[in-house]
Amino acid sequence: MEGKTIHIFDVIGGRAAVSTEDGDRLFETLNAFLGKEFEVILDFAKIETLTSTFLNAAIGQLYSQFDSPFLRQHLKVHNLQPEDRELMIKIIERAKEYFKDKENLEKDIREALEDE
Amino acid sequence: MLRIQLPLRIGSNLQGFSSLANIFQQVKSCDFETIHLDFQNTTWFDANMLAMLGAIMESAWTNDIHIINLRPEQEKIFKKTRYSYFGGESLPDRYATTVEYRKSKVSEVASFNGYLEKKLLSHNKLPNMSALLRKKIKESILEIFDNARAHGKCKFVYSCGQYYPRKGRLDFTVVDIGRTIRKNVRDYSQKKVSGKRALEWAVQKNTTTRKDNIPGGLGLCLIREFLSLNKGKIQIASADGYWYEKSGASRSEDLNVFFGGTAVNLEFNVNDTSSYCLSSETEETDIPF
Repeated sequence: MEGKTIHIFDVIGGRAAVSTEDGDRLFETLNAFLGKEFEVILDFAKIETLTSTFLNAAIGQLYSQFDSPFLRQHLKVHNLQPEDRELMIKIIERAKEYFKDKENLEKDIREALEDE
Repeated sequence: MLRIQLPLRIGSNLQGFSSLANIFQQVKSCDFETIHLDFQNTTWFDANMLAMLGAIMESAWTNDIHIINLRPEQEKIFKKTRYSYFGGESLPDRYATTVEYRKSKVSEVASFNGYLEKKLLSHNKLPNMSALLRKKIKESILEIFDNARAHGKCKFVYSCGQYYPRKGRLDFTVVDIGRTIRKNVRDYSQKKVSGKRALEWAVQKNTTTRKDNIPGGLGLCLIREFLSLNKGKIQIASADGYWYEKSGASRSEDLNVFFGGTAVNLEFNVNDTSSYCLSSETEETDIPF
């Protein structure tokens, strides 16, 4: 299996990984290499600020293309700050749930509301 | 000419948001008029609420808006924030109790991040907060900033802050004049919900109005979790709804006047000594994808 290290700092051009746009850019990069079945190392070195909006777009969105076993085998994370690990795990759990049954989940969410 | 009398106090609370929404309603229908915002009776105006006043004044840009009868002590505070009405004129903030007013393009998140670093977190009167607390504060505000872009579909975000040294509180307000939360929830659900109900729904975990392949519904929940640990407070005013949460207790109300945007006020306890680093036994590369 070919390998590729992706430095987030280089992809987004800064230390703050905070916008959906930047997350989307990282998703496109990851998607390109994972689509070719590369073993990808995602390197968070120099990233000082990280938000759920960025991770939803970059990582959460991966579950629209790949399943858990594939990502476990092909994607590794390096240099993620200890305090950001919990956030990363929450994003992954949320994405798995979101894509598991997207249509029904959306229907349930909508049905929780009533006309007023 | 239209003259709008401001109330005695504009605080960071339901009454403050309602009073400013009332100004929004009055100026919204004006075109090429002279408008006087009369501060004669106003003895207190939380500096962070300038974010909402600034957004409202900008939304009525075709008019000639003047602030009149502003008390000298308030004018000083407004100028300390470099409030745009005074053309960027500024006064030194000797006691460092204000965080500069700013209008930011939503596309310039890096620049907004720099503003938070320089004007908010490097505030020389803030107590010596842990690096993690600073990081959490910054990330919470950046979540709100990106929400304004993604859901508000607006071009600009307005922000301003006030620090209360004796209370150990930092209030920071972020405002956009864009799609309201009610509008987004109504479009998504096809249900005619009130602003209050839309807010109650939107702040829950895992609810999102996104329809693309990007999962959402975590950002506000994470901010709520953080502010609950931090013993801070969050308030949101949007359309005809108002919602707030403090120390884990939340409440929602009808805003008696429609506001055509979203205002979020985050209040941080800057004396917080919690660690915020949750221990994890997993290995570095062992992320459970």
